[in-house]
Amino acid sequence: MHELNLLEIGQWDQFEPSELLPDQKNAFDARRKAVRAVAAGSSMTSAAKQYGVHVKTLAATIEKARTIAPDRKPWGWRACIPHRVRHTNTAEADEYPAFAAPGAFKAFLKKATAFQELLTDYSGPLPGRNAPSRRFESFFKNLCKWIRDNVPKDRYPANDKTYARRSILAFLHVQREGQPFIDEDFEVEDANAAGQLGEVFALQLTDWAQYDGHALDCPFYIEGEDGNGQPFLQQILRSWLIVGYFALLRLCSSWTLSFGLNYSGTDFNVTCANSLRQWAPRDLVAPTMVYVPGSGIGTAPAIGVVAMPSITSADNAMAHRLDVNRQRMASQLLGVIHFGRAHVPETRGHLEAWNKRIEETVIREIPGAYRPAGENSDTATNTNTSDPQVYPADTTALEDLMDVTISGANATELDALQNRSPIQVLQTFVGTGGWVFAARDHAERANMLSTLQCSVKISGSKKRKRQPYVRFRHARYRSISLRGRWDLVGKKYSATVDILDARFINLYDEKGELFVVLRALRPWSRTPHSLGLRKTIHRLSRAGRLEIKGAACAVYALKHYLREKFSESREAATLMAKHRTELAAAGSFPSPTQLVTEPASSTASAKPASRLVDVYVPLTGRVNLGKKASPP
Amino acid sequence: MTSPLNPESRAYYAEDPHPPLTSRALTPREERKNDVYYYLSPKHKMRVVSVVEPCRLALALEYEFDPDVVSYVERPRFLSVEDRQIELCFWVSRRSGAESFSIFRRQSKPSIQAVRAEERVCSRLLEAARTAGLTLAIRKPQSLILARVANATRLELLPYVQAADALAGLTVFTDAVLEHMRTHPFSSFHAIERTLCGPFDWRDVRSATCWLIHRGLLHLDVNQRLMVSTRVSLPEAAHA
Repeated sequence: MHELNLLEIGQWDQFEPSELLPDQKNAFDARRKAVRAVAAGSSMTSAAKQYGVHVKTLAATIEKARTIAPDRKPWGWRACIPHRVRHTNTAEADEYPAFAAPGAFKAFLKKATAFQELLTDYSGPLPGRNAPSRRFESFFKNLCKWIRDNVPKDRYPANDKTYARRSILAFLHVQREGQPFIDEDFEVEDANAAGQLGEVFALQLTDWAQYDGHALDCPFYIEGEDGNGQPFLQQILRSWLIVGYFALLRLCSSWTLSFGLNYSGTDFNVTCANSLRQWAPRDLVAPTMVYVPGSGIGTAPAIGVVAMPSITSADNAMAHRLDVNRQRMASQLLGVIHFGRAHVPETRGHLEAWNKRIEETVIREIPGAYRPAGENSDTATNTNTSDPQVYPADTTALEDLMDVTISGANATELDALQNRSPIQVLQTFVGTGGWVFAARDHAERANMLSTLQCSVKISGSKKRKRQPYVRFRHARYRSISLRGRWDLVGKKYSATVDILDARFINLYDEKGELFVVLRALRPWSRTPHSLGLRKTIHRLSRAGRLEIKGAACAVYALKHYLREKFSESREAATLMAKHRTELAAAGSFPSPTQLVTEPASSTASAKPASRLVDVYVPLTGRVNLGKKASPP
Repeated sequence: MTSPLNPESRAYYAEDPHPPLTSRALTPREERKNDVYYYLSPKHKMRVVSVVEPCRLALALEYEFDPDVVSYVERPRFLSVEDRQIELCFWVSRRSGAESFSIFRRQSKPSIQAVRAEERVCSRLLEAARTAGLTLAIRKPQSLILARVANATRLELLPYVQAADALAGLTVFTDAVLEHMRTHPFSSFHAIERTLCGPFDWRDVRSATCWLIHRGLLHLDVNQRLMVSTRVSLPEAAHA
């Protein structure tokens, strides 16, 4: 074992023993100081002598301190706790020595601990016989000043002409003896150690999931119509692949394709929810495309159970911006949620490597794909010769492609896994009794993940004959069961909204029981829409680009607007691709009664709609109390 | 945390007539800039615990799974040392009534001066704590890194304990598991689930088992890598 040094004792946990008797406490302190002195370079004998500890005790203490205790931590400072009280000589000097004499400097240091600290802090060069040191001289000047300021004039070392220069130098020499030379650039391992999760936790295969979005280096053109009804191709601004990934297993658990300058927290939420749902093969559009046999996404195809990670890492950039993610991730995904430092992809290194692999093997083959400017070239280079304008993208086919290739990647042998596929490794891991976390209610948790919890206030005015309503995110919500309940105006309720279908809002009373379900008023009542889409529409309407006042359905209005603008604006094309499912649902208008009993979106709105049977929902803003309106 | 994650999360302090120290919420800047870990603490009725850096997470989980610890609060208070405020990491209250604070310190700069300065700050901290009458322990990374397996085991048990909170009729499961343990004082997760697989789903049984371990009603050696075959025992049997 190498010699004890300051770095090593700096690693030990420190504590202040509170239950020791005063004698024991003194012995403890003495041993601690002696150990520290030995670490600082003094010899065992001198340290023992200085602090009044027996040499053998000190040697035994140091030896014990460096071994591992039964609780699997190093003994550290705990080794200094005495078994038996011994008499120690730690009487402090109460006065500065009167004159220079043997032991006077030591006595002075005992009294002036601050001075000793100054000395130990100095790490510059010491003057040699023929090598003066400027740095030491200026340091010594400070020491002299300290002595003049703090020591009475008739006491040592203030009464000494040389200000105890020789003793100071001797002290520094002794202190440095045996201590390794460490210069300024010396890397202390500890500075970077334990900063990473894997160093502190011995994680197993399915413990860690990472989520991140990755921009695809490929321009996509989608097909639409120009003003004359002729086919027109418009480029999408940017496309993103958001992936959930079991990092140590190198297995993808869910993915989402998003279009836009950046992906949103909603996309992120959907990806997380998908990882909790059991994967099912898609109905592929292209007849020539088939799934690789034995492939699949997530753990369910391999082991029959939807496994969930103990710790979920996400980037700090997009994931935490959405309230619902901050609220629901911890409670629905369970385990620990980790938001890494922003813009440090290295903390999710495995996922970055996976992205790179998908990029090289799949994305580079799509028409129009390019390798971005980097080390090899100053400009982007195309990776294939196909023209993206000849092969426009179809979002459904693109999703099919991603699903097939990603599930295939899960069944591909990897060097990192000794030429075995992640699915095989997972099967072996579970077959040999590996620990996996799974919850029986994973599907309900997936649905709950998109439920935003908030607080709303009921507004309304009896005087102005305004029936009670709730304002929430640019929309008003109302219910027939609140008709005439003027007593509720001004009251606050906790509420939940599904961010993927914001047509309904559930209000809860103090006991946490469902009080009422409100429905959005026109123009937000018909098509299921996410809160993100509502925000986009609201922004367009505020800017005067889209008129939704008086419109029957805002989503439908947006659909028309985007169709008109398709040929002249790339933003419009991007919005069209981004909200493709919501816009598709806005196409046909079912009758209001049908809307109430049979919601259009099966997964998202199944929950609130089931409670809404027999509820009459007014579509317009004002409700006339005098006449009972018949449903349109 | 500022946002109410769970309706129950606020109930914790409301119920306690003498609320312990409250944890300082992270500022938005800290949330954005730091390596932040969140989890719902089963020990505190699913209050959200937020800690910065993996070492503090390991420390928090150590308290979470220590049956002797009644309650713990992260970032409880500051201690002024040398004209600057140093934030303590945890306040811990034990079953015996003892209360203590702990702080995690890491060597920040790789130079000999920094090592010395750190050493000095540590001794000043202990001194300041003594002056204030607080029991303080300074934790360094070494002891946490040596317990890598134990840290991971606690992390792996955590989601099952959290899932048990949402389990309807938890007592039915725990009673069944305890009944099994009385006849087989040393058993494995696999054996418990095999025995009870008839009426129950294995995931629920494992949730209940982990919940019992969290409460200290069952014992598990955390220093072993957690597997389905890991031995679970009654605490009295483990100490015998």
